[in-house]
Amino acid sequence: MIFALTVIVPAAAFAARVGEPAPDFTATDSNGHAHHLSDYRGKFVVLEWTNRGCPYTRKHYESGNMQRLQQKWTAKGVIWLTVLSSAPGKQGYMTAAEENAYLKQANAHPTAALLDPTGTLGHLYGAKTSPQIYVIDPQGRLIYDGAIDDRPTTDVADIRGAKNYLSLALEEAMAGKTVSTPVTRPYGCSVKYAGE
Amino acid sequence: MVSGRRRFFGAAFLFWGDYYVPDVQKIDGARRQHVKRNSTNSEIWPAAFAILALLISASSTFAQGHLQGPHSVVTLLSDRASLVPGGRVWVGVWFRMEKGWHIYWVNPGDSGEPPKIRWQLPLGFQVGSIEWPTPEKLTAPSIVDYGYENDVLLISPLTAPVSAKNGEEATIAAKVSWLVCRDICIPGKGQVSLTLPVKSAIRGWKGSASSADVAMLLGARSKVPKRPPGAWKISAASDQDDFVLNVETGKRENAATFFPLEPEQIKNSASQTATPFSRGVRLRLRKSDGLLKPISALRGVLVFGSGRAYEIAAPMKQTSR
Repeated sequence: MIFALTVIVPAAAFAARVGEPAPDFTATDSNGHAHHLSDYRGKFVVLEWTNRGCPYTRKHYESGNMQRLQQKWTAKGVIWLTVLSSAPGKQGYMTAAEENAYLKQANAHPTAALLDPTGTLGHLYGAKTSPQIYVIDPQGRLIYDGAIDDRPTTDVADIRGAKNYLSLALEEAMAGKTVSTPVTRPYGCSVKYAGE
Repeated sequence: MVSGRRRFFGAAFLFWGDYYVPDVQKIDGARRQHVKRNSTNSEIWPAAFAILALLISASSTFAQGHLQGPHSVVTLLSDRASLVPGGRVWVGVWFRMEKGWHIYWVNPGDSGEPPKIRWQLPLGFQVGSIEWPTPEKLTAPSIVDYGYENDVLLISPLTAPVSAKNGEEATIAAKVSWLVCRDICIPGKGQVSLTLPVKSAIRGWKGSASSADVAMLLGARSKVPKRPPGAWKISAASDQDDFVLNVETGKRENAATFFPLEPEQIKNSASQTATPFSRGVRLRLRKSDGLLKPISALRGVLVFGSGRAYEIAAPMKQTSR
């Protein structure tokens, strides 16, 4: 039997499971720096899948909602990693320069934007939509996987009054409580993985 | 089939931009086209259609609502040209997409969003929920969704109140919002309406709509999954990472596919293994990664190899696994 070694990620391409250790990974950001999830042990980490062309993502960015969440939570010490898993040629794919320009123009402040055009990180976490949110606790456990909020629409008017699952998970976990809604069906456009 | 691009502003639309105009340039032209297609293949019309055709009144007697959206056209249809007090008609929202574009089923699958129809009816009128036709599987790399490519008619029963007066006009309106996708997704939003007169029943006159509309509404009803016969035995069991659906129809079934009504129960992108046996078929379904608690039943649409589709609720057998 021949094993092909692509040791960017340990274990199989098995999706992350809430309640279990979040799979470790190495990924490169739009400034060429490598990030390992294990670097952030001791901190809360948010993974936010994005595709700037998707109307569901645009709902949160054009309204400034995503940027506000990024600022609010990074100010509290959360590591916020935006992830781009669109394959080259597909909607949402960005080169490093394009992503840096976009972050500036959108006034977005993630800790870093991870470029994942091969979809390796996306597949490791089983990311299906943009947006999709994962929250990892300081012990490295996945405590939330799913939608950003409970209004699965493209309508900006649905942001106010929505239950924001991301913020709720962080608030509860930071208060030492169990996350009341750890999994939801994520809503958005499909992640544009390579293939076909 | 792209016939051109044009910028389009419209009061009826909440957005503007470049549209590809579908190959149906005019709604009337499209419907004439539809009627023509059907009449040249008269062998596909069951006898019932032919009988109805004799009783039909012209479609020009009532208004058709239609709405142009991104890569799609939305039309409101009914199977009657008038309403009878206390009577029921079938209304349908017809989505026609450009080739390769799709909209979603009530459970859209891994991504997407089902269309929403909010009815605005005169006092006393009632509309039932959408009767969803059997969906198709829409596959993309690592993602499986459920929906309809190219076109679909979503039908609901509309009931007029007993108190409706002969000669009254009833405007039936639908606020529609939908997501239409191919490799990218675009939201559509707008309103369609129809005005139908109320006419007390006249003996011998069916008051049907155009033959095309009647045929379409009947066609849509035939595409709604049926209730399984009472003699069938359907159950499910949990087997570690899978659910096993056991379907006994009384005869061997060579192929089956299951479309779940609830999200986060089965893994949409996993292949389903059908094992036929003498009295039916067993279907192995991978559980969803997002499934946290045991479920009491698997509800959804089961489609056999022949295309026969049934809406089933398979109670979960309690096991130790």
